[in-house]
Amino acid sequence: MQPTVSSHDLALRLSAFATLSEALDYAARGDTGVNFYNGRGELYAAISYRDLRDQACSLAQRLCGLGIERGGRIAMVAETTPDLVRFFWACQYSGHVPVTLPASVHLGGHGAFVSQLRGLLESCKAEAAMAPADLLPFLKEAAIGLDLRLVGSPEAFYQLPPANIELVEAASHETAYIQYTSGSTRFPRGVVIDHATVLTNINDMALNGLKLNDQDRFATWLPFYHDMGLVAFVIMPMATQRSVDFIGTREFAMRPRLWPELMSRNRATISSGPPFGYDLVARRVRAKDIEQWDLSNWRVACVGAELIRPGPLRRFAEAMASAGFDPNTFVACYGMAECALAISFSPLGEELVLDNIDTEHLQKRQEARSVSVEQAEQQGIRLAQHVDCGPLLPTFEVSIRDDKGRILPDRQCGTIFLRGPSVMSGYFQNPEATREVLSSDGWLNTGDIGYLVGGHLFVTGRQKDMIIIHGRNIWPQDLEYVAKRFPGVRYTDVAAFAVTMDDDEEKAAIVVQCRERDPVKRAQLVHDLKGEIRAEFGIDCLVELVPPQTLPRTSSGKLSRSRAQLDFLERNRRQARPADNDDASFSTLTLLPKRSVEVAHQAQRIA
Amino acid sequence: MEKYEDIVQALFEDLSRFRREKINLSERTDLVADLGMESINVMELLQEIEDRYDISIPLNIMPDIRTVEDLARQIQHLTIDRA
Repeated sequence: MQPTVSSHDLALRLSAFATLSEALDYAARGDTGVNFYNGRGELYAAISYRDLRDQACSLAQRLCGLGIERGGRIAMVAETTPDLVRFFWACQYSGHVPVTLPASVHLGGHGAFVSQLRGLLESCKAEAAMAPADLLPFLKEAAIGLDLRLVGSPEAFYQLPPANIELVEAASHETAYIQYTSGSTRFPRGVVIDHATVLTNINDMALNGLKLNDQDRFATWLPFYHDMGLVAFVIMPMATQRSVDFIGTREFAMRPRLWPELMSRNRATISSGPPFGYDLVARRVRAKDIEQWDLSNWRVACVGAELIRPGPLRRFAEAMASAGFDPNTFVACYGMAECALAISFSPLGEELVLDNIDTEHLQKRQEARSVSVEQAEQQGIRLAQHVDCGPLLPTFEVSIRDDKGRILPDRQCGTIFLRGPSVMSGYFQNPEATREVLSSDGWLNTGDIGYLVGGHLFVTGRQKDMIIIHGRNIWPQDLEYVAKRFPGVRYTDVAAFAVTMDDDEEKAAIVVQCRERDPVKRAQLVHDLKGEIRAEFGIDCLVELVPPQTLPRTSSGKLSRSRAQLDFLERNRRQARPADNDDASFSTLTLLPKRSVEVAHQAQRIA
Repeated sequence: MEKYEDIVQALFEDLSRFRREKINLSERTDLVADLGMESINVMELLQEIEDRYDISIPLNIMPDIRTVEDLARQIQHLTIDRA
């Protein structure tokens, strides 16, 4: 089997597609396509866009035969497989809306996986749902009692009788897909993206962010249920007639060397990942692997999905230098599902720019004052480093605003607001959540905090409470919910938030008000809660037990997570090794605030 | 087919590298709740197991594995299929 080619005779066309199906019709005239590699690095499926279009149209006929009305949702557990890609494109031809569901399978996480799937099926009101055969039992369990027309394996759908009707082409304002911003079971938010929105963003990225050419080839391990995986590696390569190579996310996590190996094998030029992905490669690859790779064709290595830390990138670049990897390949990106995907890119082929900020000045003045490292050392100034995420893509308007909505000048830190044709129409059937972030005149409150310098964006933290670990969004409410299930823990007894550890890793922390005095029972609660969180979310967290009445509330009685976080840091910073803590893992850690600048910002707001 | 006892013994050795606190490992040890294994460590462990026994661990068995014994039984089962 041979992978699809990187270049062909079909003229590169980056724009002027009205719909995704029109873009695939064009790509189908060339020879490029999608390629799937297994955990041993072997190619097991190579499908040209020509064949993919035929397969998608055939499946579309079968979906139409199910009698689901136009715009009806078809949910799919998004493992990295050819089936997922066929289903996604089939929906574009059949007029249905694909919803990719996370395949977040953790050790001991049976119940959590099923309830997550169920929450999403209910939220998007799916009419049909697909899972790969091996995960189908979980999906079936999740769908018990829900009124779906079909819950089946890909095979079950392929065997349906075709409707034999003429497929109706989509209009550019029709919904192309729904993207869930986190796998939250309690607060699912489905971003609704129409054809014009995603194609505008892809066009903007291809022309201005990546400057795509007719030799480019994509490769990724990112999951298809993540916006970066879906938009940048399933939709964009197709809409720009480029070939793309895939390995599964789990295969990458098991054998990180598969990523650079894949880049080397077909001389791929574009890939991306969160900092943790680069870190995993740097920590786990062996010298004898690196010798065999040629990464000199890799021209864009996007870094995004979580706040960018320079350390892992430096380690990756050093490890890969002998394979021809150029550190100027790194491109810092800022984006979010609410804008289809990308908002800004740092300039191609240039070194990442770091801005050293005086944290104390920021706290007092909300101003990001740049200070040289030497000056900081001489004057004892505490610094925070932020990466230049580059100019905004041209279709965006940006403004940085303070709490009262006033627009701030350069270097003043505030909430990032955006407007433009790539902004979503709203969250699916959730007008309340939509109103919270989207104004009637089209401005999106990103919930992120940052500042501008000469049109370049620097992101310093988050205003919203979202916890981001390994590029995955986790709502604190979901962690708190787990704690509230324990006997004796009351509804108002819990606060969850993120802290940054001394190794620059973000970590979840949970503070629980506890009336229990028996140290054995207290230790048991900490142990069990940590265990439940790991089973449900696959992450480690810090647990702190505090006396009742400790957690801060706002004047309206609502829990203040940002203040709970500050209190937590204050309590645990005072004693470098708190001896009386019930959670033993505290003793080995130095705690830092979650992004020093953001905490400074919040401290200012409280004052 | 690998012997169950041998698999358990090898797992104990693997796991001792991942645990942060001193814990007496037994077949009943809960991999997630007792050992604090995050998903990224689990992946590294599974890779070592796959390479050692030349097996491929299917994704769908993971949600129902909780203890060392659960994992060892599944490995043993997979090594039967291999032969």
